[in-house]
Amino acid sequence: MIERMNDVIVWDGFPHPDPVMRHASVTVQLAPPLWRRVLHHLMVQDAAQRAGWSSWLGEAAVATLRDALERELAHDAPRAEHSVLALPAEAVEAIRATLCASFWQPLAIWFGTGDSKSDGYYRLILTNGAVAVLRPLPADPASLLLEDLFFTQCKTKLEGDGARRLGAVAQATDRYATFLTPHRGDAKHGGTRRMPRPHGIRFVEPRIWNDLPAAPPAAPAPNPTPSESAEIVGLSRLLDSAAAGSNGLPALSNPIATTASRELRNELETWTRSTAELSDQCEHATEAYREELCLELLENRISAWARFVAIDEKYNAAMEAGDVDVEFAGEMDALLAAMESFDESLQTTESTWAPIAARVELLNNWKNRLAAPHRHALPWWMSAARPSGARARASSYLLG
Amino acid sequence: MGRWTELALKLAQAKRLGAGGPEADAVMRELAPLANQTARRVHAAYASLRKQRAADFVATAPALVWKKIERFEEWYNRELSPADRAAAVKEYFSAWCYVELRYRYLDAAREQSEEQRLLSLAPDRPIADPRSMDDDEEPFELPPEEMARVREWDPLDGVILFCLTGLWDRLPAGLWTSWLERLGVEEPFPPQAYLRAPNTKKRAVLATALNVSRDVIYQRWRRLKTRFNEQIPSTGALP
Repeated sequence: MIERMNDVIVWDGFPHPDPVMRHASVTVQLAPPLWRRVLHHLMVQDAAQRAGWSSWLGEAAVATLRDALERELAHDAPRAEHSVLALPAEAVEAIRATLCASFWQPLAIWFGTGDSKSDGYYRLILTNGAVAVLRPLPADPASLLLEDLFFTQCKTKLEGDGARRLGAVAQATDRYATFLTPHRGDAKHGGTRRMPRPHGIRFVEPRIWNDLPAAPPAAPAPNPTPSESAEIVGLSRLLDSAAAGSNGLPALSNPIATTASRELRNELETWTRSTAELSDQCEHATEAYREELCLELLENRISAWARFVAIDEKYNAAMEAGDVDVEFAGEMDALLAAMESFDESLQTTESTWAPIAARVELLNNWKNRLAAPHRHALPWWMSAARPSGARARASSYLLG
Repeated sequence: MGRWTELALKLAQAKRLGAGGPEADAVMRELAPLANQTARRVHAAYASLRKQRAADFVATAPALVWKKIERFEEWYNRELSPADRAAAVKEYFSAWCYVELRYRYLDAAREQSEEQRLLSLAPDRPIADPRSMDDDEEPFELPPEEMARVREWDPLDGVILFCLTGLWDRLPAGLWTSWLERLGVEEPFPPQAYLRAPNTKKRAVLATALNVSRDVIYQRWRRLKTRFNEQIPSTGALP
């Protein structure tokens, strides 16, 4: 059984994803442009994303989508033919079931304001790690248009112990602190005194959802990988002690530093390649996906910075002790080259990511928590995205 | 004693005794990669400088080490006891090098940040480009007493300052020509390549035309700006 994707699909009776709208149910609409966006996301040659789609929709559905994409790219099919896309019904049902469960309790919810005041949207991290972008229809606020579906690094971060770590990083850096809890009581559905809601992401905590059972206790954290260790130690050096909450962590050991360096170099090479494609990817992307791509890029840069600081700390100690082994020395040279290449690609695409970074609080939150001397000598990519005067005043007002 | 420390002390001694020569050059060639790598590590740990400035910083790191190498020797002799120096396996030089370069890097970062702030405050006052001067701009004239002081300037300072401010044609012709003669530079100066270069490339083009490194231009321009703004407040601060 197949579903024709050039029809609008309508699903009724979903719980509202917004906690303050919990009394209301919503209708979700899937319009044909959604599938075109999914096709484009499949173009991204990222193993984690491909695996995400395959396990969600099934191999058959992914193969159908990829075939359609290849036909479209080859332009060898008559227009009428390649405008019709059919997916196995099981794949469509998998999307419906995940959305329904996630609307009830998403892993995270982001209230996006968009470019204009009336352009608000919800971005949900679904229970399987995919991101759904939903925009209320102007004519009917009880209907949400599913505008986009994509996988990001968020999925990788949520795997294993990732959710706990992501939450911890969010708490430590307060990335999400300016994205306040929903205005209980202020947001009158359909009323005239609807308060503007700060935009951003907020990780959902069970206590917010009073009507739901608490989440099961988290499993004990497994041993961190060398990269994770480097990031934790690096963050503790970069952030002031109150924000990091983990000052006094010992330096990495020599083998962990060497392995972390190799892993970081490999990731930097991947990030450099994907950054080179950023402008192209942003060109046809939805606003939410553009934002995700650009903020992910900056999060990668922050991660690289923290990890480098931890690795370099060990390298410095080894240099002073006069016992840098050949492997570590060679690895450091290669790592520096990879860092420089990544920064170069970041600088080349600055006009793409900087305006988006200036619109959100991610970098400001990091700036406010940096320890000296980093606080006084900000990285260029952190000071590049300066909010406009009006934006700065607004931020200052919001942050008190 | 660590290898780098030994080389650094040898270099300091050669420089102190005025024995530049092939031996010092050979030692410097060995130390230069360490200085470059340390500069790259400092940049990676702070990432404050943009690409071109970071490249300049890394390129000039060996020169900075050469310039300050006696200070390392002084520190080594002053702070370490003879027993420590004899027994030490620690690489004191790499630690000293990192600290020195980090200070220099943070200075450069502050300077970059200050320049950006000034440029954002006065977007119509970048390094002067004669083509962009407004017709109704107040004519620039140095008062006679200031002109007497400018005549005493080092020719390279004068040429750099008046080129980068776009004010070379406001100087008495004789003074400009004498500066150029003393520098061994032919007129007309600045050359067409400089006039055509965008503001962001002017320092590099000027360095080539004067046959000096970009670091020389950068350091002198930085010093001159401070001196000029202190000495001639009535003409307005340079960006």
